[in-house]
Amino acid sequence: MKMIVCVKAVPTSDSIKFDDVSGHLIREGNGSEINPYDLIAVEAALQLKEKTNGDVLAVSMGPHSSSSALRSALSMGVDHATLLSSPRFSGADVLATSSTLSAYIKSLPYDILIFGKHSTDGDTGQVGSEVAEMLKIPHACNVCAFKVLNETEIEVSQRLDDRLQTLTMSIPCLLIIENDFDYPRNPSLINTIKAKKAVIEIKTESDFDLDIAQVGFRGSATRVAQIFVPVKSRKIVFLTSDQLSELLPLITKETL
Amino acid sequence: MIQRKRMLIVCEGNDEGLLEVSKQLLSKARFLCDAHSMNLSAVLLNSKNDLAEESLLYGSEETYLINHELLKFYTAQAYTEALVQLIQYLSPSIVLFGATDLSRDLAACCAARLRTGLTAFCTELDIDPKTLDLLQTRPAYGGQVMATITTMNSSPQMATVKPGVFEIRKMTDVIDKTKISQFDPDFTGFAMLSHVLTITHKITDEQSLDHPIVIGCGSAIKDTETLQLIHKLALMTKASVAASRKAVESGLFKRESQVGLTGKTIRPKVYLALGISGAVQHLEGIKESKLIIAVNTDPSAPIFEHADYGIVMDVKDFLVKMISLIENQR
Repeated sequence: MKMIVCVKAVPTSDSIKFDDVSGHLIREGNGSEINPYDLIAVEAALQLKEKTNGDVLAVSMGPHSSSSALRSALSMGVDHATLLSSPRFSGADVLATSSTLSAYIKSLPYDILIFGKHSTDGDTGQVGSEVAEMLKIPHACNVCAFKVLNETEIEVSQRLDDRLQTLTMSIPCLLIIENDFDYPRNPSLINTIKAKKAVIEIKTESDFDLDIAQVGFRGSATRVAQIFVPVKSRKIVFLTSDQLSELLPLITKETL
Repeated sequence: MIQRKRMLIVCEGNDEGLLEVSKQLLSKARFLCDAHSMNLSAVLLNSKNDLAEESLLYGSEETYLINHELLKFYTAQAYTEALVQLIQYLSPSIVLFGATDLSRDLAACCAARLRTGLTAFCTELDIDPKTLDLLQTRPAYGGQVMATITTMNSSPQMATVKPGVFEIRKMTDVIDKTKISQFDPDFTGFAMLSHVLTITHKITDEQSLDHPIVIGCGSAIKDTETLQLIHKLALMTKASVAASRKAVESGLFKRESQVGLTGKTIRPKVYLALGISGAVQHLEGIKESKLIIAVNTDPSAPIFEHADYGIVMDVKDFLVKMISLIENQR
């Protein structure tokens, strides 16, 4: 079976700071890494590959520096990687991102698409669902387990708030993987070497069929009107080691 | 006469009634609609009449029930088809959902189908008095800043709202049953590609972090002796023990105990952060704690910027002293 896993490069957690006064974003260096939730999606894709004797393609969209996220996927054992990168794709919101990804995926043969639950930067968790809708294929969010029944059908368990739902879906379909699905595997030495050397294919708007009015900043339906720094709600009081008894009523009033 | 703009609230409920987040959303929407002369409708999918009645108590002027054989269980496919038909029928300028798993998935599919914007996990909503546009505010970049987002050149304006941010206000005790109507979606030519087999209700979490006191452990905790002291303190204070992602990766803590963006969100009365540096990802999971007490040897650790009490001290020394203080008190 052919699996496509979509991954995103996110700024490393310590590379973003905000100037409290001006509210401006200060990027310290250009650190980016694969979104940690996408590692779990890659793991799910690789498990499907092993079970179906299949093949996994990792796809990302972003600037050329995003190829680091694809190399992380390759080092875990993904077979190929493609980066959708063009100035025309930049500034995309959920709608424009989903439009770009689905337009590219439509040009490929695939059986199962796999997404992580959400990203640590945008943190909207909506792109997987929107891509499924745009491709008109069934999907399930919050997938905790799956079993390929045959070439045309998969059984999945999904967590929906306080319940667990089991369903069958016809293939092709899309799975959005729950965060505690499984631990992502460690990269093997041989795959790490391969990932370093791998040529990552870069695709622009001229390489596949898409409506240019639906992508990038132009194709986005939302705009950031304002950014502001929230007021810090806590004011710290420092205690010395001799003042610890002051904490007693706070942490024992429930039990004593 | 100028047609008034309409807001549509997608509600959810269970055997116990409307979900809290639906009541919160209706209350907020009622307030905004009154302030800006807009109409307010609500919709419930696969739901009973009494939930529709309940929605009227919290501010809905008219509530639609969509019930159909294909909507007995949640599938994004059938629910999207039905809800999009109602949205096209009512042409609301704004559609709001509670940020539950189900509604977040459904909202995304509807936004894609209608080719419009969708803002996730809003923590504040307002209406621009001039344009009647929805101002959608949410944390961005891991909660370090807030962003106010608007929807441009597409309709409706859609958002999901984080549970617990708006107050519930009951508007009336009188139910006018004529305000409830059935909406029959047309499923002609619709091919169902997913089939629900079973549903298990009430997922119980073995590693419940739902205690008034939670002790959070950071990567500074490395030895089993300190760990034993932590469990002793937890037992004495009836606290549950949580951990940061790094601490979980060290192997000393179970994955189920992980708190933060990649783990659970907790809202204890007291969060005692031991050896936690205060990475943004971890803060996301603890920021709704009533009181945060942080213990760290590094006085410049970011956790101190987000705590109510700070103790610059070795975690093990802190534990020994705290445990003896409690024992002496008894």
